[in-house]
Amino acid sequence: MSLFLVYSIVLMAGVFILLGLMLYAEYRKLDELESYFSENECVRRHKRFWKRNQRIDKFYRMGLMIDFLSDSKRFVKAGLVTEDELALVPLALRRWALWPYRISHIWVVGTVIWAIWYRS
Amino acid sequence: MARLASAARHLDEIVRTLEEIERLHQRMKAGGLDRNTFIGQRQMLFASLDIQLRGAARLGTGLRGNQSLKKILGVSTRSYLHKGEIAGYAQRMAAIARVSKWLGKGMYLGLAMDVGAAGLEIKEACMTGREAQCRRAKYVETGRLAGSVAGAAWIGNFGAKVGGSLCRIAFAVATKGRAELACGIIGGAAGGYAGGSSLGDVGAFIGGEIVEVDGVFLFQSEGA
Repeated sequence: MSLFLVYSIVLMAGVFILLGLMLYAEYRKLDELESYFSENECVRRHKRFWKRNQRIDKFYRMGLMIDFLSDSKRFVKAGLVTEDELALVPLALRRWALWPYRISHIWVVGTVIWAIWYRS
Repeated sequence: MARLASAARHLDEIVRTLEEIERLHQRMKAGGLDRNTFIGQRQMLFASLDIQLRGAARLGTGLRGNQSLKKILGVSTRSYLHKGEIAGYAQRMAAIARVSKWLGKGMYLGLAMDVGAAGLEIKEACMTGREAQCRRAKYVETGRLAGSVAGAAWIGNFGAKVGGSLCRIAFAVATKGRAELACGIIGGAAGGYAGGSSLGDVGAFIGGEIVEVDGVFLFQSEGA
């Protein structure tokens, strides 16, 4: 088996796993995450806008949670969330929200490398 | 312009060869040819198709500098010339119609559309006596489908997330749903397109490497 084939299989398997993790976090971890921000005005407003609980709503609500957790300083500075609220979120839950996207960055680079390798 | 015209002519030739394959098949079905003669004559047509496709690839490089025509046709030299995936190729007739249109020749569109309608026929003609290659082509197309769907979903998701976040930052962190939605859609569409096409290629490549040995699926060994 060539190295390129192994690389392709790992890349493809990773895509399925990442997609699965993203969906799992949106469907199983979002409510718990949002419960830590139940008093937050910004989150409540956002939830009212994305209230139908369909895939797209969950996606955008998760997006806000991820932004809060990944770029906390900017949002604290803007007064949309407090440090105390953020500190309450357990580490495991943060990881569910953040890591699928962090690994996705690496995987996007991996896909670009695959495309270059394939054409060369 | 001269280049465009010659590209259009080239496409026309490819279309004609495919039509001839189709006619040959119809003659065989009507009982005018025996199977071996059919396969022999078809082999000749495939050979000229090979040459025409090489020409198309060269023209493609001349046109845009980067194998664009080949890419538009969805034929890679690797997959077509070396593996003989004609079944996958026959399904690309609609793409030829589109190329002809871009080249500014309305009549080519009409011509190619006719062949497009006969696409299934061509496919059948191409498959007779080449079942093994066609089975491989099936894996390639299945792989491409699986790869492009998963890829589009994943990078689309990722792109929408990145687009949404960028807008949230750009619009001074004001989390107005609508702006975020617009950015998400743009990011998602761009990501979905990029992910679908690139990971479709990954899936097609993996599919092309699969061989079936006594009902067991394996990856072919090197040099096979």
